[in-house]
Amino acid sequence: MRILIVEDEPTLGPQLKATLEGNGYAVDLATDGEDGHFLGSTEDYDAAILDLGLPEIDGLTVLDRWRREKRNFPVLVLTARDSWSDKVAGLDAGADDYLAKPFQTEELIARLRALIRRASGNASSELTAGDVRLDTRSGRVTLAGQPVKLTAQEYKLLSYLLHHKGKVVSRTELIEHIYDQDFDRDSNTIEVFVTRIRKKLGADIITTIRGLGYQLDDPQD
Amino acid sequence: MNRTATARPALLSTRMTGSLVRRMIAIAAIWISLLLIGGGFALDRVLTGAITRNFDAGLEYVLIAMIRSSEIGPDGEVRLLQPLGDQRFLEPYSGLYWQISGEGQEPYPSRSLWERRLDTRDRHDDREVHVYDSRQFPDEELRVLERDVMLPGSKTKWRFQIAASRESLDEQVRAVRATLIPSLFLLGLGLIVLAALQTVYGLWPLRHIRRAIAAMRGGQNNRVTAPLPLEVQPMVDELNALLAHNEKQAEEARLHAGNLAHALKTPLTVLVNSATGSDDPLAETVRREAATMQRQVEHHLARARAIGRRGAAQARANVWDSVESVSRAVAALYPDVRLDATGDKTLVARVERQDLDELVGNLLENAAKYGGGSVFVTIARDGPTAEILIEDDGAGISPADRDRIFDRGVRLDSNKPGTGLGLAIVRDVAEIYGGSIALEESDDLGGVLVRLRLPAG
Repeated sequence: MRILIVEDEPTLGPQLKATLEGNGYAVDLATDGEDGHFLGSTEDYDAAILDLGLPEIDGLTVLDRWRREKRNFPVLVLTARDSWSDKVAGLDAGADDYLAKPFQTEELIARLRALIRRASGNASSELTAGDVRLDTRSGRVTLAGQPVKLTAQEYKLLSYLLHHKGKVVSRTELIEHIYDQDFDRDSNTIEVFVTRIRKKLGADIITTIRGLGYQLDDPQD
Repeated sequence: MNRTATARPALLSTRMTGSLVRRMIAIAAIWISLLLIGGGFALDRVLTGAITRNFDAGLEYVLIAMIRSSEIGPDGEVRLLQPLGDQRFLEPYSGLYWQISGEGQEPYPSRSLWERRLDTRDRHDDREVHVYDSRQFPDEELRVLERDVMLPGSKTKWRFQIAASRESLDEQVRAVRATLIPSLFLLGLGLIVLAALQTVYGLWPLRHIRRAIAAMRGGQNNRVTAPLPLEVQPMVDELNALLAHNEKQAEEARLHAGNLAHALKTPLTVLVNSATGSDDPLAETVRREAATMQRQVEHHLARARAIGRRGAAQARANVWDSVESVSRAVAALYPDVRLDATGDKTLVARVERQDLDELVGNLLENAAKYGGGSVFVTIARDGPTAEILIEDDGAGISPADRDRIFDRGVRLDSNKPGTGLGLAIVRDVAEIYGGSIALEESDDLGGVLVRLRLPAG
């Protein structure tokens, strides 16, 4: 894994470089915006750590240039400016994560790992059944265009049924996919979730197939 | 905005300088009254003088007629060749009398005098007509005309007197005054009312200024822009300049405090990281003190922002735009959390955009961090209030903890990173803008429902 650090502070830069190298990353360190931008546009990195307050060119400009040059490696922004308006500006410029100073190196490494894992990417797709739409990327669910409030468990259940539209899915199968390993697998809770989803999306969205499980399909008229 | 804040300030200054309108009306009332009283006296003198002269002229005519028709009788007494025409000379106590008297002679009175006689004690050395008021009869005030005459064939100086009761004269004077005084009083009243109207109308532009300033405090404007009269405009220009100056200074102070606090953050990071992973007591001290410094920096940054907010009464921000962009940021930071929003996309809150982002960001981040993976935002207008509901599907917060969680440094879940300042700052900021925040339970998602209420624009 190759990481680019763009940080002008003379102590913090080398400190970060040393810590990341200790964790098994190959690290390049740039100490100003010009140099950082050049490295980012010419070399291949798995991720970049970018300080926003830089000499020569500021961090947001560097980020904006990379994105316009279609350099799409994940970027973690470091900054002392941690107001939400600043975060929005940073993330809208194309940052993938935002870490406010002062931070601890363990947190930086944890965030960096998550960032690289996430960057392997997931494509957006939309699942529908009648008036119900589910966007797998944003996780949004709408009924006739109106957003619907679903808990995470309800969402997982609905998403699984939509992925298997038209098929009968057993309770055991649902439990397997919805809960973590160590969860107390009481199949009655599935019945509770189904009831709640019917209440929020309409009674006929999920059909109970006696003795077999549940089925979700486009409404038949 | 609450009522007390818009109430008129400081009775003290009103007491010390008084009302301009009242002062100008009082001055007008004083000079109008003085002029009318003076004018009234003059007019009264002229009118009563004319009436009295007219009255005297009538009497003088009778006196001359009496002198002309008198002659000396055979015994040296005076007699009238023909009786005077007025019937009142014959009726006793009629109010019109004559008398002719000479030295050493019994006075010769009109029949109307009956047993009374007119006083002749005044001495004149001339032959002119003398006019005066007499109170010799206790029940009747008299107007007397007298003239001393030498008649042919007599060496005696005869005094001819005509006297008339002043009653009819006084009656006329009273009638004139009965008209004059109420007329002048009404005139005065009318003038004072007009002066009051003039004052109020003349000072009307001051109300524009008051309204413009009220609008500024209410946040509709940030300068007095109403067109104003020549005399007031320079004052308003100065006021506008002062406002601009204050805003600039507040902004600079805010910027400096922010820069100072931000500048400390990078060295703090270096310190903390250098001290991490060492058992040295010095490293322990550095870690502990660095944490204290971080809290101080956060605290003073929050204060610097709060100072800037006080001058931002005219701030406005679209709620949907803020929720939308902050949701995007939170979604990027918490990729496993589903965020969704619905509601009024045109709703505007009376909050600076940066602060609204801060409020929404802190609350959304809390919901994303401590919830169960779903966050739902509802934006709605409730009368004069913009309401932002943030629901999550987490474990919720017990009613006992709901108040405590707003205190600085309190964290219910210390496993996740945070300073414990988030909710305390959110509540402070919401209250600075006249808003409020409450924690409830979400019916639809089962977790926490945060109800953030802000004044709508």
